[in-house]
Amino acid sequence: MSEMIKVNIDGIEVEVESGATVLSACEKAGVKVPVLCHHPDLNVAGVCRVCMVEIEGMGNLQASCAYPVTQPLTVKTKTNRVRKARRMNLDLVLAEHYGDCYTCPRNGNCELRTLADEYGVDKFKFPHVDKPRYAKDTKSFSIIRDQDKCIHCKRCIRTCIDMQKVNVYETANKGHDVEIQVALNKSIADVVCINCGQCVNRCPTGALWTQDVSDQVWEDIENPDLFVIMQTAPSPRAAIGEEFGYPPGTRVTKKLNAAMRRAGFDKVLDTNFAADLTIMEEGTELLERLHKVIVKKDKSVKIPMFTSCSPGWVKFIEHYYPDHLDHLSTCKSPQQMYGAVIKTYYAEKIGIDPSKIRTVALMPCSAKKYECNRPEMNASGYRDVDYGLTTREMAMMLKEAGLHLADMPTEEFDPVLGEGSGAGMIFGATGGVMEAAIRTVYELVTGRPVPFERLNITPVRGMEAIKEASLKLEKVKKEYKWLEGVELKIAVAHGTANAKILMDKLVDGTLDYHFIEVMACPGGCLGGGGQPIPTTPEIRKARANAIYQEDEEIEIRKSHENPLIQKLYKEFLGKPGSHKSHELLHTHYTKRGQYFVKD
Amino acid sequence: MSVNLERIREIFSDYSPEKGNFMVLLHDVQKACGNWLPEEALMEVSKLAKMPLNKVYGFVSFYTMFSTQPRGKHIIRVCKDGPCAVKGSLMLADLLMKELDVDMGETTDDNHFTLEETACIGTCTASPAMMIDDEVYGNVAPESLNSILKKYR
Amino acid sequence: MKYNAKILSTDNVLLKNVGNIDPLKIDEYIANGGYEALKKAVTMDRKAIIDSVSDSGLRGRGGANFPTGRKWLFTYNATADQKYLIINADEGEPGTVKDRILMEGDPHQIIEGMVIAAYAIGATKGFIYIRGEYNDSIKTMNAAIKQAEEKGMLGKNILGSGFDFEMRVAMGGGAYICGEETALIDSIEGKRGEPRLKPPYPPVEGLFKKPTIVNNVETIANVPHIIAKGSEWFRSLGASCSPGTKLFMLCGDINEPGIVETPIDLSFEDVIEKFGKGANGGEIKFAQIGGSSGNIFTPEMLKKVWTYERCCEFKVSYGTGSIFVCNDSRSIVDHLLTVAEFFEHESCGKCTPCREGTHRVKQIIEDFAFGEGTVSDLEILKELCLIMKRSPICGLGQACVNPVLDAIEYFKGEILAN
Repeated sequence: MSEMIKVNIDGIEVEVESGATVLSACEKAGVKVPVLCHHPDLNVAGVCRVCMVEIEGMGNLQASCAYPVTQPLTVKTKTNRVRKARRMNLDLVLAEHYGDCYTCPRNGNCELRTLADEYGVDKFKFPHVDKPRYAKDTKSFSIIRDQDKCIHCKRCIRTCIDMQKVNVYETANKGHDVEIQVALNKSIADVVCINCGQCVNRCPTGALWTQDVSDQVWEDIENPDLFVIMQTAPSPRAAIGEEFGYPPGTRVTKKLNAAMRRAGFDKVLDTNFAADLTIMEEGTELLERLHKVIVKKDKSVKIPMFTSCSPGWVKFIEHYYPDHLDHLSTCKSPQQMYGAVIKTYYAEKIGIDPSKIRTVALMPCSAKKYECNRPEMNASGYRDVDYGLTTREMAMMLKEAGLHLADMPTEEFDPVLGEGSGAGMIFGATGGVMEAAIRTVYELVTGRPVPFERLNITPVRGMEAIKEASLKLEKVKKEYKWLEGVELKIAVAHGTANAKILMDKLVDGTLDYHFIEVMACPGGCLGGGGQPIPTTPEIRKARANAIYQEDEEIEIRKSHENPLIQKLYKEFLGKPGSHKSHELLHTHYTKRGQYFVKD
Repeated sequence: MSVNLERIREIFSDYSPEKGNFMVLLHDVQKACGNWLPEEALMEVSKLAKMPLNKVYGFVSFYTMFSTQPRGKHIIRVCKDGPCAVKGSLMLADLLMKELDVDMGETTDDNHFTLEETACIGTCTASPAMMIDDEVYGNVAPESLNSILKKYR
Repeated sequence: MKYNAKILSTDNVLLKNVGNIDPLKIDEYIANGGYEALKKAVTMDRKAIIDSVSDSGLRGRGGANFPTGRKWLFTYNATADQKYLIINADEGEPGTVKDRILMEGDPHQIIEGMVIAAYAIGATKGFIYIRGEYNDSIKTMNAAIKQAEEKGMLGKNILGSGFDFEMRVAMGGGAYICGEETALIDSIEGKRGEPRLKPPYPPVEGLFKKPTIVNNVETIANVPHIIAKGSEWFRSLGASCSPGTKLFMLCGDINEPGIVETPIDLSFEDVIEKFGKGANGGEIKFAQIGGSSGNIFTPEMLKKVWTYERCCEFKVSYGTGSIFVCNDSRSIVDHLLTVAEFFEHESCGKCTPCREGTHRVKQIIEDFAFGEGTVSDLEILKELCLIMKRSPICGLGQACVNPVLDAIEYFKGEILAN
């Protein structure tokens, strides 16, 4: 542990580690300092100059978020000099920030507006920009940009470049002409964006948002000819409560079911069911790959196999490692699998013409919007999924309909394809897909449940950047004799920066695993780009807890034991990896490359 | 015009971050492309320097001497800063605009000249000053303008 | 045309060779005593060189006046597998031509100073960062580096000392802010030239995260002379608190524009009268000293000798040493507008107060230029400038309001009358 240093903040004495920022010392002292460019997930920028403080012995004010404590300091945070500088810097930002607050998606949840309120900005000191200067970029299926609202805090740049190791944004130009742009000033749809939406989650204003499809969904709900089926993923259920004033980590699944029915969805299904289906297909694929590699020595089959549930991750590898797409599982994500099953098997079950069905997916994710619009996602003859809705959009829809979760009764999912196992539930947290897969694969191979207390495979849980584990396969069933004694090596990464570490090892030939789970977003889906804003490490932890609690409470905790899954295979798909499964539930990928720039 | 990618590869064969020569090479690439940096050139630079395209673009757009818009064969840069301003650089700029029939920042119809403003070019004891390509001209008198331009026509 | 500023002073140290030798011939430099200091230096203890520079009282000539020896000591004391020396030749302050003259007139003086400095701090690699517009300087320095390598003054085992130093020219691309040392470092690294957050400072963590000294061209040009003639000699020049000579450039409304080398023992008025033959077109109304971000000096102030000590006392700076004279036909508002437009364009745009502040300063001054400014506009302008002085990341944002604040103090009536 490094040396502790005393810092006096407005007369309150605290000790912080050498190298900690003055801002963190202020937090420790319970002194609130306003921040704008600072974000707990991101590198220091020190550019907005709102968190200014006075440090004794220094002539100029210092940005507390950027100033490291390396010697004892006396800090003042409330002097007139400080207050005036903060207010002036806010005035300067506000004068350039164009847009009606009423029409802004961040109305009521805007960090800039909150600061303006708290810091007594009572008039425009400078002529305020009064007409738009930029055309909105709405071309992408996922991310839209309104540069008029950009305040140059560079959070999106730091999110994209440093946190996600994606290279979409960069500062362009110089002086007052500075803009945050995508390469060559293109539309975000035409560059290497993976649609993860992490930039949206960290934008302090409404400059970044997700493509909103709620109006189309409302239209379809009201159309008497259409049958609108909702599927909800686990992560939005663990987070949507935040939009209604519940603390992070409040579980509202059953209230949400009721609210969505009242909003007019004809059926409400549980994506966890499709997650179980994914496990069946992906687990089978893994065993098939291992068999081909270990027994048949087939060099064309690639190990490690990577999960493919996260559409941000899929696009990341398509752009940045196009020569390694063979490592991706061919399984569609649960969202898309569900769509394909709904428009075939389920349509027949409920006796509705699939052309009249619209499937809507409530997802924590902005990339799901892009995913459902991929041209190849139409195996049933119809779009697998018609709309991807984010948690935020769903909350807005419910609020618009006057449906507040607190007032809702609790209701179950619709039957037939209704429910998923606990294994499907934990897909929402980093490591969850891996845990679910291992619960099934281990049992398939050995005939015994995984050797972990209460089935909780703790080594793959938690927020560590890259988690790894290995599991020895012993006393296997006779049909898996070739796996006897094999040490199954697995790894889990969340956030594409961590995935990149693994991919670079793969390129170097030093990656020694059989199976790897990657989620594009920090914390997994629960930290997705469609989730309620703000996002912080603490909030993500609370959401993860909610997900794991729900898993423990579900009676069936292994995908292969879900009776509805068993029924689906028996009645419709045959067995995992069957021809029909491949037709409906598997997909292929596109080599995109980094220099893919459309005109 | 089409971009000579082979030439760019040649220029960048000497690239190394350690040598701190990214800027030097980019100046050469710009010259090779006819005084500006087309998209294909930037993409090639990005590949060769193993620098993501957004960063290459961020870099290029920061420095005034680079352009991602087509420019003429010769670039005229007129200093607009204090010492030159008091010595008639504004008038000089006006004369050039009239003579070439372009506004500041524009290129003549025949793609021969691009007229730009520049920050101080360190010729302040001989104001007003301008540059044409790599040449510096100090104490530019209105009547000498035509004979200077003639050299480049 | 090759640009040559007229050298107005005669008793010169740094400018002694300029115009008198062929800069592209190393032998002429050597024949005039060149590289003698280096020969001496490589036999000296490294710390002794730094002590000698510290004792000389040499301060940075780029405008910040930081004691050079003290700066070197930080890097000398730092342990690292690689250290760098960078010479800042991104001369961008309007009115400033000294670095160009030194580079194009006597490049080996700079190289000699660099090798001595590199030897002292233990840097084996160095750059001279020259602004992109200085084509002749780039050519001259490149040629001189080649010659010095051939003569064994640069490269491996310099003068048989066992010391290696590799030196290159790095180029600018048209960005004033790259004169700020951390922006310059980022620019060499192939990045946008945006100033870094400090600490850490370059002597501890600079180019490619290694300890790095950034010195101005004029500063480093002094080094061979200090080593050759000793710190006592250097101290004998000029005032005790600001020893040595300083290059000043006379431009604007002046009869004889040019460059002057003089110890700081005479007033700016004397410099203007003695060397520049006085103002032309009328009486002096004001002079801006040290470039666009420099202070505005009234005729009254020009009468004083501005030693470092006095500058500190009055919180002004002579910056790079340019003396831009404006006669009484010039409008202060027009002048401020030129300056404000410059900074609106040349701010790097990274931090709020500078990016937005420079824009708003220009806007308000524009209002005055169009006769639309009010008393309350002037109050806002002053408040804004005061805050810009103390909240941006780097020196550009802090210094760019100097002329505006000075003008508000000395010419308030004229501004409001506009």
